[in-house]
Amino acid sequence: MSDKRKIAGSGGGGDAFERDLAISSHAYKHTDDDLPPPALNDAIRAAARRAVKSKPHTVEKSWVSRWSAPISVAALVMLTVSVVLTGIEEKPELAPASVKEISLPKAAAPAATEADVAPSRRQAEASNSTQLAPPVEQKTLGETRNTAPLDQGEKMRPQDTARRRNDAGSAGDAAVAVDAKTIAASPSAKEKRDTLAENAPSPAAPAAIAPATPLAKDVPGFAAAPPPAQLARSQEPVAVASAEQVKREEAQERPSKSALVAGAAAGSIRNEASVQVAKKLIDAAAPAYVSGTTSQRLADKATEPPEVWLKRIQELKKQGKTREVEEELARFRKRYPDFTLPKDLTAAK
Amino acid sequence: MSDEHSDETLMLRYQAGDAAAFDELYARHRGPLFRFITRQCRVRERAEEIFQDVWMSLVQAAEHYRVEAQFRTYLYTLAHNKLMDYFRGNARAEAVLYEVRGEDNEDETVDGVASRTHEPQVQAEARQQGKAILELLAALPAPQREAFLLHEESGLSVEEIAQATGVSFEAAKSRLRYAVAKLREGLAEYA
Repeated sequence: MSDKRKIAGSGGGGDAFERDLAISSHAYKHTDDDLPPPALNDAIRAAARRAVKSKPHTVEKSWVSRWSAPISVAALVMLTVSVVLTGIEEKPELAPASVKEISLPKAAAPAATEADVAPSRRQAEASNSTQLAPPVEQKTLGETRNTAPLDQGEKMRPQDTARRRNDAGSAGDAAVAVDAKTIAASPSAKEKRDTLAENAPSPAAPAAIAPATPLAKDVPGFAAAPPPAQLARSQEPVAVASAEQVKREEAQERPSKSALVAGAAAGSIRNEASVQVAKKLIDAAAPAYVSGTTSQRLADKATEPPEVWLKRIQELKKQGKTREVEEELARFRKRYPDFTLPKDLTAAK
Repeated sequence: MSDEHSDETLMLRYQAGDAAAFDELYARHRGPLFRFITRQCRVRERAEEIFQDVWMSLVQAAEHYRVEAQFRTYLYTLAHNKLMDYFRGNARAEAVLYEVRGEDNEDETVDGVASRTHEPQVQAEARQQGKAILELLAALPAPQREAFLLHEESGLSVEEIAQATGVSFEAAKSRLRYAVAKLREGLAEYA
């Protein structure tokens, strides 16, 4: 055996060791061939076979499992892009929405319809009102807002509350103060004060008392309400409606809160100060019409108040666009035949 | 032995999923390994358990098998470790006398020896020698006995014995020398 040669050659005294090893090996070979029992052999072989069968095979991944991750990522990207694009496409609808609101019949625009106005438009109105409304106007406008009866079924939605919270903001406090004054003068003042006192501490209270008609709605060209100047002069339907409503509610034995508020609002609309404020707002809004895009102007022409229209015509006259001035005047006269034209435009005529 | 049927190749084939390769490997090593264990463990039932544990360890480790040494060395290293575990857990096991096979297996033993020597007198002497060396082997210190059994049953060299038992080459060589010397003396006295 080669191993035995290795052993013999691996150290000193190899001959004696080799001889002894040969004798021992010879004797050991005469021992019995002890073998494991057959049952043990079978058990071990069976276990070895089971291990082979249960071994996970390196099967090639199927097409689905290989491409599932990239497909998922691609689908996610496409979904995200489509959502973003949809959002971008929806944004320009804000302007048309405003135009739609403007095109509502002014005289028939009750404050209660405010509940149906889209939240996006409300936000736009809120921002416009914040930019346009001077602090002086808050009291008057707050009063005007209160022309909307609170119990006309208008339900406060979460977005309404949030918007009105912004809308009312500082003006809301003034409105509450005005309401408190107005209510104090009414027959059931104590009851109303109690109601207000209950509503005041909560954050939503100003919104609840506040105005169904936001500030921007009082601005011609931005809202459906007619210009206060016109209202003051010609007793336009809103004021008339408010007055009629006040009369109806006053006729009742127990005047409701809405009646009180509406009454106060009707009085405030006739207020000269509010007319002046409205004129200021008209002046502020008119250039926007002049500088607006053609399509917007075309859309606005159909609905713009006569004051704004005349202002625009005056602007055109200043710019020396005689032909356009004549055309606009013709249209204006057709639409408002009874409206008295300013002197400068009469001269142009 | 061709490379196709070497222990290492068979093990690699089994690793790849060839159950027949394991059968061949098992048939080749089951006898020597079983005797290596039974002649150290002395309690047959325990020896069979250790034998099975060794092969199960081999099966479970087949997935990670790498040809870094001879398969025999690998196999007997597993067996050595199992025996060490057994000895550590059964300190008195060493004191148990080696159980010589009973009368029921005697015919098989006689046949085995008769295949090598056909003369009746030689057969009787050989059987006596075999019984004597088993008794002498059982009397050896465990490390020396293990070294001798590794040399005789598996054919490992001193270096491989050192590798399988985790000792130095000199220590393995010394163990084997002492074992052989004691067996030779015992056989001379027995004769």
